[in-house]
Amino acid sequence: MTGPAGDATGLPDLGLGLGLRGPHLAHVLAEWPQVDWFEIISENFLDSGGYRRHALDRIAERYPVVMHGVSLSIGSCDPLDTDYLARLGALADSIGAEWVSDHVCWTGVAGVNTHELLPIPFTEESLRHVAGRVEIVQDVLERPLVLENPSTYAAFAHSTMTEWEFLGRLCEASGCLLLLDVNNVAVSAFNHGFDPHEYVRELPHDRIAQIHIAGHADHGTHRIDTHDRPVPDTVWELYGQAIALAGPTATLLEWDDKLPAFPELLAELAKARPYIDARTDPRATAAGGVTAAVHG
Amino acid sequence: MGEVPDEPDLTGVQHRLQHAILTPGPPAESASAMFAGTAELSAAQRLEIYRNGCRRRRLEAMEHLHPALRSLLGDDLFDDFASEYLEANPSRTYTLEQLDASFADHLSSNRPDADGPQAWIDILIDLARYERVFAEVYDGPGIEREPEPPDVVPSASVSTGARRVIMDPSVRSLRVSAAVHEYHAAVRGGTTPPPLVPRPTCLALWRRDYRVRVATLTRPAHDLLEALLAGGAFSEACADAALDPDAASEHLRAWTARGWVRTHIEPARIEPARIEPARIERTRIERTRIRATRIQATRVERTRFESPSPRTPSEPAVSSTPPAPQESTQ
Repeated sequence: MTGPAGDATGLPDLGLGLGLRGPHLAHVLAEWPQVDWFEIISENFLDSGGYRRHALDRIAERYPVVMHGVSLSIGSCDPLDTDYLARLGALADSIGAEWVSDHVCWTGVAGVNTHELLPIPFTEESLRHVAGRVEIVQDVLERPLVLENPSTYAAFAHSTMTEWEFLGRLCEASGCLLLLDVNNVAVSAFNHGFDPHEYVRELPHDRIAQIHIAGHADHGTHRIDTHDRPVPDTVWELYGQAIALAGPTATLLEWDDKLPAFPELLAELAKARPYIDARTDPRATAAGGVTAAVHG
Repeated sequence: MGEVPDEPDLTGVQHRLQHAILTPGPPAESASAMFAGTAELSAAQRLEIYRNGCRRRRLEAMEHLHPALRSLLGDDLFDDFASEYLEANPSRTYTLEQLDASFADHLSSNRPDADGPQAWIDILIDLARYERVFAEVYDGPGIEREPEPPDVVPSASVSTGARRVIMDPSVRSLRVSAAVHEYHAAVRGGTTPPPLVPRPTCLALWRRDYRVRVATLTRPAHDLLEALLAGGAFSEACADAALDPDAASEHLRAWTARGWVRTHIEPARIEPARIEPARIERTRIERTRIRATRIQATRVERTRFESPSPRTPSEPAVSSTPPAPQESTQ
């Protein structure tokens, strides 16, 4: 759709990062491991006055930190939660967050939070609704909002456009940036029967500020986004394609359940390096196909 | 995309889907009818993935928040209690860590011993409450990031005055019907917990160096602590605890030595003189919240004037299918 990102997003390519999870805080503080940056789950720190926040403050002094949320509920028909937004902004300012992200979804209405990333219909009405709310959030936070494509298990029968078309138009209408989760693309593509490579190919690549990689569970009839295992080959293929099209982009390995030791996470994250190197090597091809990279 | 069978509005879609996800029992067919099914996975099966995922995520959060109660009750009974609570109290906060905020109160209001109070019900309620308080002390406000307080006035000097005692914000008091703190510590430590038998116990919890500490108190000391935590003047707290000032001063001296007492202030001064980092952040949050409210209100008004057709978040929805009644999703 559009060319490689470069610095068109206005956000830096932070390199290869890891999700900062509670069981690893002490390890990070003790070892200061070689990792380019960390991503936190915003909600885990919004109200913390304890060890977690203490650890985050110290870590943010040494590493770039990105905030990734799950409760913004940008697609909800409820009014935006101004208290939540205020806390989000205060935390972002306090730790000097590189950017703030969440998901293209809704999590509840009527004041309820289901804590699920629920799908939205891809319609003109949804587009207007979400774009308007993105603008409000960006005004409040005084920074661009980065939005992720969630894994979905159901699609609305009355959707009038594809997910990738919706995301592209959302970026155009609201000025938001994209967090492309290639694992979620693989999961949703299997669940809905679309071509994941077409999805990645059709996105506005100059709006991709960040990429997520992760593992998922295959249940035969459907796949579930579990973040509890290594990144499968199908996801690495999509990652290679995304890097080839968008250029080197801040990349984050998500691993939440059955969390391995920190060095294992680093080893898994390092598998992304050849894709980045292939893209930055002028001899590499970047015609939108899958970049060749080998990992064991 | 394919044919457009119907154009339900976004508000109606969300209310209907949320109702289908959170309400136990088979969902209405109209809910799954919103989805496109495939040969591999019907629309109803797809809805079920969300229902199961939502239920599992919230139950796992409750299990994470209450490992000791789960150990006491066993997995099945714990899940029964937690499911009933979650059904009656849908989450209204942005974090799963607040999911159990009213769990103990719910258990207390829905005691299974309708035929007469049973001690073990009191114990399980107290254990649930203790786990909640423990978590609040662990991750709540503390003094580790605060500057050293002004010199603490020697406790004897407040014993005759109307000064208030400002406690470390992590200090909490709790009265329980058994030694639930010992049970909780054993479960957390991976050792065999002692049997829980009725034994009224007064506890104080506080945090130091990011670790939660627990101490048992005598009943009068506990009452004094509760009165001080409630903001009473020292002389009032003595009266509430039925303690003479000398005895109360002894407790205060011991608590000062433990670091529970931050400072003593005159009644006219309602805040310590220093501006603490946490207070600065609270002020910043409040300012941003007010600004966010203004921005949202301005945008809503502007949208109304500029483009009446797109619905704004604050406007009522006109739905081809009425949203599920709000009370049904409570």
